[in-house]
Amino acid sequence: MHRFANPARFLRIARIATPIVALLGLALTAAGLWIGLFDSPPDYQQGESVRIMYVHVPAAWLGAGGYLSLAIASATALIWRHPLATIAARAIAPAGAAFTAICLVSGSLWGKPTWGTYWVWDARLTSMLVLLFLYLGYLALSASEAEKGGEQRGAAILALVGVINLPIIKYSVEWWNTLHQGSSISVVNASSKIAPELLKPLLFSVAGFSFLFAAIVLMRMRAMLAQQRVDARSRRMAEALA
Amino acid sequence: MMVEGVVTRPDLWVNFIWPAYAITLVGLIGLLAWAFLSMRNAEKKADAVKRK
Repeated sequence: MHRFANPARFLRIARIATPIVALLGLALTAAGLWIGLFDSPPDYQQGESVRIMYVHVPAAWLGAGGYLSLAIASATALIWRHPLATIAARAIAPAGAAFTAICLVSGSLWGKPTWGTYWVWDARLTSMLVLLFLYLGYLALSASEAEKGGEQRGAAILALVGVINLPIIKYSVEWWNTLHQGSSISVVNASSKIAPELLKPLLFSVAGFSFLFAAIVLMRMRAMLAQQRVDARSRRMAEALA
Repeated sequence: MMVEGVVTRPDLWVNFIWPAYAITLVGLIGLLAWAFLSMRNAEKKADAVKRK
């Protein structure tokens, strides 16, 4: 990993990877959503509303998975002071926040016809809302520290403290009696309770959303590295003039 | 076999499924466009500063 922590080497790889990852993301997402809307059967209980799952579930996984990567990047920045770790964390946060927001909104739109309400203070829903607030807190703190030219230590610590919410999200449906159903897919056991016809669009969407997430992070990292070059150049010019 | 009376609202597509997809697509495309434009503008600016 240390080899890729060199910004120049990272940029060389990112310039090649960005369009490939973005196009893969767009193609797989389009395929997943198309199959989910028009080429998959309704669920025997949820009926047509199961189609909302093809956007809700990938968004939820990326919201939580994104936060884990944000925490790993923050830990790397705090411990090893990798030059790219802070930039990676700052690039992940807006994408993670957006996917979490999509998860909450699409979940509400599924909840109304299924449960009869857009929102309940259920453990899974509440912990996902807390995740959104953690992202927003990280974004605010990180922007404030960047403005002051700080090292982003406060934001990194907030990201690490917030990790406690991830097992709460994951196990909320087992630890408490929740309206939200338990998990249908186990990554650990590589097993699924979902019928193959319904699993296909879900897997396409998960893959597509993941590539889009990666593309957004790569683009944001490239933008921040370019901004750093501009700032460094401006500082050198100001020093030369002084 | 479809179980009767579970989720069979007549407005399911118009009021729930289409809005869920529309919000998701607007969010994803908006985020992608913002990330792309901010990257392009920052890299252009960095190149311009380098040439000075």
